[in-house]
Amino acid sequence: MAKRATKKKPEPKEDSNEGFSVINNLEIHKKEGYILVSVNPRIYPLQIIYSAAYVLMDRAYIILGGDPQEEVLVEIRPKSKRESLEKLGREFNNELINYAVYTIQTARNQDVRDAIVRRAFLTSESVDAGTDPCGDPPSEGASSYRDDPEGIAKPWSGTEE
Amino acid sequence: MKIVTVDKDLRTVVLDLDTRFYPMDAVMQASQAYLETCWVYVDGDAEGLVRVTLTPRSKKIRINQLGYEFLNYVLSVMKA
Repeated sequence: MAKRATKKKPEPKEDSNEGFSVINNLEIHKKEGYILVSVNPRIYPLQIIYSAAYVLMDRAYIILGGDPQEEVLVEIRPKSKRESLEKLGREFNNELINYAVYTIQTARNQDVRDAIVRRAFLTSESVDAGTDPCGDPPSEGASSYRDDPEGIAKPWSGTEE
Repeated sequence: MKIVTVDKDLRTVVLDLDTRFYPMDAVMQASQAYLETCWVYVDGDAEGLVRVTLTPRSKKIRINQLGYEFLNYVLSVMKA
């Protein structure tokens, strides 16, 4: 059996001059207590970035900057000091993917959803226009509620016969 | 990325917002929501950089977090 290559966790590159470490698109500023996430707006449009930011909003302060055409910079400042900066950044990356997929699926299902809604409205319209919502009126030959074919419609007298 | 500036002496927070990320409508809505707790002043260019100055009415308000809370609020307005 072939040996499985052991995967190493990517080591953050420490930039001693700047005082921050870098992992992929994450720039971790431990001393200042924030993480800077670089996002490519050609892959993740602003709407997706807003949605991803919204998820982390209860745990962190989100600040948007950079260039909306070239590179969006998302600064994430955790509200609690116990929160891991790296974890927050990675979670943000995951949320970007979540919302990107959601957006794609929504676009794909758009026609089906429209068809269902259109059908629902059409059904409702035909009921309103064509028929009485309380049911069809009784035809002329039909029995009325006054008819008593069983002979049970007697006024209550209070005494049993 | 210096968007939030806190002046502890004046107890004022100044936010410089890029309207490409934070649309003017959302900034104004958030400003209105903050009127009860802060004195709010909005200035700048609606097509570029908008400056929002927040001065809390009460001393109980934590001035260091105020600016960031405002930014989160603007984002939440946009999401709604």
